Amino acid sequence: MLQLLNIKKMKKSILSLVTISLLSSSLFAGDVRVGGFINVVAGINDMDNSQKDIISGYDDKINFQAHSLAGIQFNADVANNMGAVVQLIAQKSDANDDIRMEWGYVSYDVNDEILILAGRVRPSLFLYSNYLDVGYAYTWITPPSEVYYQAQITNLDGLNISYDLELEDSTISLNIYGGNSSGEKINPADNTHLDFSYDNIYGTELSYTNDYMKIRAGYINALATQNPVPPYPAEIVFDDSKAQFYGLGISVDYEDILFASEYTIRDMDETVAPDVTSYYAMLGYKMGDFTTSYTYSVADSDMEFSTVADLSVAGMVNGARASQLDDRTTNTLNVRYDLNSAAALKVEYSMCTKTNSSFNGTTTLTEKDEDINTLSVALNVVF
Amino acid sequence: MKKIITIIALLGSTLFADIAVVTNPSNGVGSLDASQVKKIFMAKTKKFPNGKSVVTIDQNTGNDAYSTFYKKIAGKSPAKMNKYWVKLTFTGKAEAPKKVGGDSDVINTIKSNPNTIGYIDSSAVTGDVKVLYTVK
Repeated sequence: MLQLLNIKKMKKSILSLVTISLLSSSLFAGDVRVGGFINVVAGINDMDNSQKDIISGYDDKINFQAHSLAGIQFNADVANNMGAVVQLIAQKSDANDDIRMEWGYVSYDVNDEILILAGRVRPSLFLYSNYLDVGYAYTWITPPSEVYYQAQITNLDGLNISYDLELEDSTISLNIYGGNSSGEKINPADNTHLDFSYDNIYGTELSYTNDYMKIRAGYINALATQNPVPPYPAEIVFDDSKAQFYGLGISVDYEDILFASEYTIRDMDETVAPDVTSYYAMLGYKMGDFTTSYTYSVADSDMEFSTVADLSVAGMVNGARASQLDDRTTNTLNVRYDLNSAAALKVEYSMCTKTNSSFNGTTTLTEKDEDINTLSVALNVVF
Repeated sequence: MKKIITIIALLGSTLFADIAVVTNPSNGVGSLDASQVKKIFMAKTKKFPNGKSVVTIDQNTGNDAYSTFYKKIAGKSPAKMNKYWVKLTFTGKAEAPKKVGGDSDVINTIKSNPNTIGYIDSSAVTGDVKVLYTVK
């Protein structure tokens, strides 16, 4: 702090010497506030490495890396109605530590009702999208993957405009955003990486919030492109393919009762990625510093068979489509213990029944159920 | 038995003490109602009703004034307030008020910053601050 003050003093004297009035405004812009969060998460399931669960990243050896991360956020006031926020997240990804910017925007308060964010923002796709990485803020270790895994877009570069109408004891908010984004996905067939880009993203969210409840409805639309294109027939290649999500959600935090439920539909133009309907319901009860919750979550996907006359092409298309089918039902039990006002310890046990689909070369799908039991433990801290 | 009565009496006095919402007398703000107080302290507005910008300050989380104040104005426990701010902070929407300490720290901060608003035990009110609302 002392050093900072000295730097400020030094800057001031340098500035007064050269009298650059333009720069001097930054001296009076106030300080930069720093905060952050850390999730230390370990998980294990009963699948051997060859059948590793792609969604959780776990197998039968304890894994501390798949879901652990650290985030740091800087907030600054640029002017009376203008602020800047940067949130960086460091997480293990493949062989390297990956640092990415989740939030990075300039905010402008038009008035108490209208707020404009320009830069990198998180689209409000789901109930918990805006603080997905801040494990401390919700009761699970990760929100139900049946719903949250359906969207690869976690942030976009563009604009977000929100309008908040304050009523006596509640708020009605309308959020509109647009921009573009790019991301990476692991191809489950051969573990190679596929780059995705999403253009012409636009979406909206309407929500009602009071002291103990939030109800929301959201919609997002984007054009998806995949690169490099794997050696697939044109039928199953993403190239400006329309992707749409619809979502409804409710969360309640009333006295000692917690409840949350979401329902989402993913609608893909191209059929290599199936249309998915997913939902969950969570009920929790607080006893002092302990919160116990049970969650039931489902993802249900649909496949259309290829009608291409060439049987070898049809076989390849249908095989690729079948490998993308994602049907899961999970029962999750979670206990959260609030160690203090900034740290929570969580233990979670989930039992997932996953349906593996394969195409047998004719026109029928072979489905085989597989059970995955996962135990995970997390320490979530905010500072 | 006497001890228990004393404890109950003490608890009673801390649980039911009135809390005064205070600001600097020089900023010209008249008085506030419960809903305006709530909106200011929950960061739903950044202005006083007269249009002047407002800066909120908090007591330390462990203080009785903190828990009583937020229980009364927002129906939230310290743990729920903490989660409320975590969500707003890490989406960049708003930041929690700066925690300055206890009653006298609130008064001192307000004395030197005309646009600040805080809350103190009503028995601690001095001539340096103006009471805008009393939480009973």
